[in-house]
Amino acid sequence: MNLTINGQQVEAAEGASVLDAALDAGIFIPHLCKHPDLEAVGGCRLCMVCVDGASEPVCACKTAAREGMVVDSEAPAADRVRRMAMELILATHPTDCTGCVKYGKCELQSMYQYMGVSPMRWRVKSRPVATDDSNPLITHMFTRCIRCGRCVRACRDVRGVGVLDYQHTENGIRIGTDGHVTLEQAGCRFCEACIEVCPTGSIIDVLGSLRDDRSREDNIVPCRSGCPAHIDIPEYLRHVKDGAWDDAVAVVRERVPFPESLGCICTHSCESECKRNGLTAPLSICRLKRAAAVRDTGSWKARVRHEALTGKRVAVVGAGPAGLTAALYLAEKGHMVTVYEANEKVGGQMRYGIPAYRLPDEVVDREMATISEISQGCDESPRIELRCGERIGDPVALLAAHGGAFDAVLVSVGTHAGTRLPMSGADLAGVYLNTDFLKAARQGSPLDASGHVVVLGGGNVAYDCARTAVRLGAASVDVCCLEAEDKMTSTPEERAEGAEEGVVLHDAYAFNSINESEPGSGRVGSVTVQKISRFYFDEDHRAVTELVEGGEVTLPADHVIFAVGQKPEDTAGMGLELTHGPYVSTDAALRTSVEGVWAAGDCVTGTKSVIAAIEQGRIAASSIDEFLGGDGDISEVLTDHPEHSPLLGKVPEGYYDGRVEPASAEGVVRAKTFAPFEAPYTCDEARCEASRCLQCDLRLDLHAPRLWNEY
Amino acid sequence: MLTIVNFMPVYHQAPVSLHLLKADVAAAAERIRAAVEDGGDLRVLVPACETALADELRCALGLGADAVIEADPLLGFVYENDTACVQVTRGEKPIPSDVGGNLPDVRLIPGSELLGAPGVRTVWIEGADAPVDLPEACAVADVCSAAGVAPSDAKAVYVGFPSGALVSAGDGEARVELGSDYVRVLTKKDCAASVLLEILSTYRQEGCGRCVYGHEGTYQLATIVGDICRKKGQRADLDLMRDLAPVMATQSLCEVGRAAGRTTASFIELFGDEIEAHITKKTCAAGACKAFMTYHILPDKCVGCGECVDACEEDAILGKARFIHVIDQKACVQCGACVSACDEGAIIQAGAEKPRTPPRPIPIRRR
Repeated sequence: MNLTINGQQVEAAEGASVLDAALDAGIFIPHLCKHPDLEAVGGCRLCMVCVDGASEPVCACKTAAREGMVVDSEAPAADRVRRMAMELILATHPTDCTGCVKYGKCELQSMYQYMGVSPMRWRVKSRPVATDDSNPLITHMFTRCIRCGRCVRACRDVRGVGVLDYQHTENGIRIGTDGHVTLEQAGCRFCEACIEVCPTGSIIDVLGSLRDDRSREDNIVPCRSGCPAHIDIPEYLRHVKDGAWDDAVAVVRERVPFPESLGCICTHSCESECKRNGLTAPLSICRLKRAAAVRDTGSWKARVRHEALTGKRVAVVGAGPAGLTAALYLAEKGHMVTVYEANEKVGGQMRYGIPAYRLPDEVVDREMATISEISQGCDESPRIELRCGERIGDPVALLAAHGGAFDAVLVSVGTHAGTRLPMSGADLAGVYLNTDFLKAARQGSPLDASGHVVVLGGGNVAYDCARTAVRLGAASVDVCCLEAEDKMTSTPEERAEGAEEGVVLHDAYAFNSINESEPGSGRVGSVTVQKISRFYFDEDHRAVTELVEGGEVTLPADHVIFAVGQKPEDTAGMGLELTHGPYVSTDAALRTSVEGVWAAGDCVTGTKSVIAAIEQGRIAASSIDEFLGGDGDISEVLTDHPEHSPLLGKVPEGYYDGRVEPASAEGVVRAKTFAPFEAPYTCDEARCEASRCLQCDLRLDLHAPRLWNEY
Repeated sequence: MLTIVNFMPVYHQAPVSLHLLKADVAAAAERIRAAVEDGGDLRVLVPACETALADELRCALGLGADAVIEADPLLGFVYENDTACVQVTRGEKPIPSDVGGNLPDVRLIPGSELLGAPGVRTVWIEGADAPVDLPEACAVADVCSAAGVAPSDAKAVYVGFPSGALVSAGDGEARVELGSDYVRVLTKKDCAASVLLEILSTYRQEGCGRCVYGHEGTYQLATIVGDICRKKGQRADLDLMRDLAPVMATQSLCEVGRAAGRTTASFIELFGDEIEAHITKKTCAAGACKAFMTYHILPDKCVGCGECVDACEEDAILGKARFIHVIDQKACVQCGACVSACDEGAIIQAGAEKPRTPPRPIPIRRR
């Protein structure tokens, strides 16, 4: 269909409005109440045009384009109506834009600057409405509202929720909920579409909730940006909600090759970012991943990337999450990979650090088997060769350039050496290191943990040690740490579960000494700690403690476990440039000081998390692939990603309730066994929990209107 | 075809359709049935507060609960609009989305039209206890007489929403189309500006807020006329209204904003001089706008006692013992305290016509 707009020949689709035809052709006509995702109403009267020489202007958004139509948006009659409409809008809008969060991004501001309109000839007075910041996530500052109704239409028509509407009040018409109840009482789903479509600063994200150091997208979907591997969390939660377990796993696997392990033990930084923290409780994202993973049938496997063999060979030193992740993606890119592992089995900290009651061997074995299977694909022989029990002291020597057989080497040896604090009694018999203690327990030859056990440290590893000691039959287990409880790095769940199993916490204590049982016995008998009022790091990053006088406590101890951090073994002799002591120094692409050698995971970053190690593995794999002549693209599409339905519908029962808790053994029961104590969600539990997701990402599907300067 | 018969009062003080319905529900039901085309759907709207009437009508029509809808009487004007009434039949609020009368499959019949005699319009004249029947096109003099206003006292006839017509009473034979349930006869005592302000305030309450010209336009008109009535009018105000009103009359989304624009334009056309006098001459010819009322001390009644001087907090009264006191109009704030302080009844309030008073206090002549 052809028509003429402002003298320009324009093509338009059947059924398009004159406004859409003009905007699509790059001809800007001012408009406010029309939004790309919303039906036109013709309320703002800015998109006025004269058609076929008619003297009475009409609004372009509600006028259908016709063949041969002659449209003039600059006709004096159209311009007069448009300018007066803008004057009337501005007359009751606050005059000072500078204090508004939308300053510079406001459609109204952009539009009136384009039109060069001032309301001064009219009665200029804004209509103050009290700011409503009582709702989670969404703040209403309706003094700025211009009643364009975009939020109302987005809520009703796009989302099918319908909690916002025009309301008659004593002080005039304003947007609000029926009965002026809170958004929750009205049945809001907190999808934030209203914020997205608001052309002014009337409906905004709660002040301070958006971080300046994050992109718009990351601020809108904070769980995804909070995940080190950027798993598309809202996407897989939608699949879980629909009971599409394979699709959910496929979405997870597009970023990480250990869905079930992560579902058991992930530190889930995504959950602390979840926007539902402001609304009852965050989604149980980690458990939902497990719920999907245990029901996975592997239908995604057919779509795994499997590029032709390149003839290149890569050695991976250390079969932890970083090394195995890199091995998988390198194999998928067509490289032959040999993985060297000093221990008898693969898994790294997943097998030798994390206790079995959290992550049993079977899960690690299963996920390793899947990695081997999908990387081999239809090849006759495996692309990944596992060589366990081989410790590589000099990875550089593996390189062809240094006499070895490999084109590239990745060092991912992790942090398997515990730290012994230089304090009195640290070397007494019965004093253990976290790494030794946990590894021995996993290898089936646990260290003696009878009698009273004192764990020094306050992180999750300290609790792993304490709860392992409980299971090994300790009479009592005390955890002492410098930090006050609210500053401890262990998760609150970990502390609560530990307490249920009998672990006693002594927070905010300095470690004074480990004492002999009898003078000269050489065996530990007690630990003396002292209450502190304050603990911080000074300008030189040295720990400073302020002791409480008379706050000394001596705890009986038959065994003491240091759980105050761990560091890489063996890196000193590798011939690689190191940093902060034993950590391998790399650039952003994880290249080390030696060409052809990469490093990834805890041995680079310090002890972090499985998910962070996996992301390191991905970065290294991509970088190594480029080095070997590939394009570095390791992305995968393991399931269909159809367009999201924008419709949410009325709020379902239980939407505002807290988390669904899976079945879990009681403290006294689980304290006696290394068997996993928490069951995966049942199907119904998982679907119910997943339906609590706000689906923040749907907001990104809404189209941002182009401002005039973008034409 | 969906037929909607509307008994919602367009004006709450002029519930003509409801009045006719209540007079004979059985006969009304007969007419309603006759109005529905074969195979067409029927919905009847009655106010939510009339539950008993709704039940009676359902019985008489032999229809279920959902055919007679008890609608929200918060708004009235919107029920003249078919797009708004269709919304009500869907369980939504009565919000118009377009000018009425353009829906192909919907027929909206006002109850008054359905139940009234052909050629007759039942209207409710402002202040009356009951509606009266008048010819649809009626002589101004007949409307005045129905309103009980002497032709010499009448100034104009105002026909309410959706018509918004204003016809001068100067020519008694002039015809007026009674296109509304509500009619008001303006008398010499009515100030055109303050009547317009009343009308615009009603439009403000009846508006839905969806469109700029309907909502912001009516707000500007009401604010400007309000200022004029409060002696705060500005020289450009009539031009502003002349600019805005015709645009509202064509560019508002529905009849509500359009009629507000039309009505304002009619008032300015007929009573522009009277309204403008508020601004230029600082007078309200009808003596109705309070801001233009002044207080005066009648020289022949003042005894020079000084009680009023003590009562005036603004020190706006000049005078001394045995002198006729005078109010300094520039200092007076029209609080009226002096009126009650004067035992002689010498202080009066005046509108358009002011009494003669001395410019400054003069001795009281012996009586």
